[in-house]
Amino acid sequence: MNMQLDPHVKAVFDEIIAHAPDIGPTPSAGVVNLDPTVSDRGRRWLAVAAAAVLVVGVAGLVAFAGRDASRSPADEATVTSPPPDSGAGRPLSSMDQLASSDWVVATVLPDGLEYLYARRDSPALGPDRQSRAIAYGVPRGDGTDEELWVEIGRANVGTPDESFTVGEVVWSIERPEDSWWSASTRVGGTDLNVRGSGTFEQVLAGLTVVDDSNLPFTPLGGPDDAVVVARTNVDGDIYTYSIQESGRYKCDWVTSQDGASGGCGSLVQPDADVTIDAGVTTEPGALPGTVDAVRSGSVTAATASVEVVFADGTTVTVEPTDLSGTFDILFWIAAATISTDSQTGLPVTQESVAEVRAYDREGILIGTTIPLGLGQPDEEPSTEEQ
Amino acid sequence: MDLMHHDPHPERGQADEQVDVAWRTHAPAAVRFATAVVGPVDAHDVTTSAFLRVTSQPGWSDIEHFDRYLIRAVRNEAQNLYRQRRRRWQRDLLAVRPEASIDSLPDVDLLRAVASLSVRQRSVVFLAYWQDMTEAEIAETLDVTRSTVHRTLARARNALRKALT
Repeated sequence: MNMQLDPHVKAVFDEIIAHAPDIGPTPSAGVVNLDPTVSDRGRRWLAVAAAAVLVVGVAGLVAFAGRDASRSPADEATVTSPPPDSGAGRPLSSMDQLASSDWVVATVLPDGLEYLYARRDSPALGPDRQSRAIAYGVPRGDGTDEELWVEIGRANVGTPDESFTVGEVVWSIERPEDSWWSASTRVGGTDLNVRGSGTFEQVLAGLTVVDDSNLPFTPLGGPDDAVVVARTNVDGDIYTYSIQESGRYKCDWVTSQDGASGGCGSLVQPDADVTIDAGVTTEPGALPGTVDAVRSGSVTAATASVEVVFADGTTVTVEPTDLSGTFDILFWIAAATISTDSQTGLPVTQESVAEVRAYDREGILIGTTIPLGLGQPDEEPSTEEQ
Repeated sequence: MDLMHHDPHPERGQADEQVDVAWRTHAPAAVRFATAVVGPVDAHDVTTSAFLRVTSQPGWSDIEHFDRYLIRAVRNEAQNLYRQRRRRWQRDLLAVRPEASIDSLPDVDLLRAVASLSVRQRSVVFLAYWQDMTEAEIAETLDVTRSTVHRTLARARNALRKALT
């Protein structure tokens, strides 16, 4: 091996795999099929009401200069989410109807699981997204937190394998894999679905109905539930960046007059001095062979300017803001008309942003994020590989 | 509370346990490899898809060197992911060419160079530099010829060396 490169390359891969996610529970086909919109946070970016707005989820790999050595991931640890106040709850079997302010909570949880968040679909997300759910799981913060959902407004997606009765409530149970199950019933005219793994008897037996006011945090929602933290424009189009925090989760939205894109995820981002959280790419741009790219994210409060290097080399410098005045960090949003590859029409890089750098008031670089992505395509197809 | 229940599936228990043991034993290394190749956001998905693909095959538990087989499956999933994204990019006209010339920290330059490597190059470099595998071991793990490993590694080294000068 090349001795000059060896320690440097090893160190870079040390940094890369330091971000490796926890392996989580043993996967099963059931996990993948049950709820792809919830189980995969990396793809949970939603296009809203605008055909011209494309949704791109991005993630960064972070490198630091002059980083505060005293800061560790443990310092950024999580807000503990108390469970909903189920003492004021009503038994599910006593309910004829579920009001729009009602939530069904689990009072008996499998070992190790805890309350994570409540999520209410926004009317802005479309007519087919009218459900509201409470998620339970293990707060790993790596996109695999959720392990149990109680969702109002959703039914089983497949054919029930069996039935189960608790009190006077009859549940249809679907078990695509032995360890995973999905149970549905109807309360008045409303579907109710519970999904999880392991045994379901006690979970279903412990379901209780509570009101909005009994939830520990405001439910995660859509763009209308978020506060505007930063604003920019490109080609006369104004883009705003909005945030909603709820316990240790948050939603990010980039909105314009054409619509919005964004999604929700864990607030826990160890080492996140500079993040790239949300964005849209619209086409066409102002000129032929161009697209308008918008990206947004957060920086620490010590940041005075953010330099965003788009993939074609276009560099935009913006001042981070918190227009809401409610956060202890700052946010950036940058937009640019960037060129496409005129020769091939094919991508060379995965991300429209090559790098984001944060500078303090003295102009000193205090952090930078480089999206790792998938790099460039192989030069020739391999016929030798299996 | 009135509880009524029927239809358990006890015969599936042993198979589930084998899958469980295989995941706990081999997933950490596979996730690290996936993280190096596709990044942290997609790493879990890629590993999970590869693992499910492998363990859905009849007789998967008899596979010799399951660890290497899973790494190959992860590599294949990573390349599928790239192809899927590439098709989507074509549709979305998101093709752009990086031209930025940047000067800052040495490690950032190298990180940038690693980010520009292809899936195959990144796989080989990770196994060579982080796992300390020989070219022969890499060839066996990825099921490619040794000359492919040698050629891929040489090209990747050139790209990385430029980042250090």
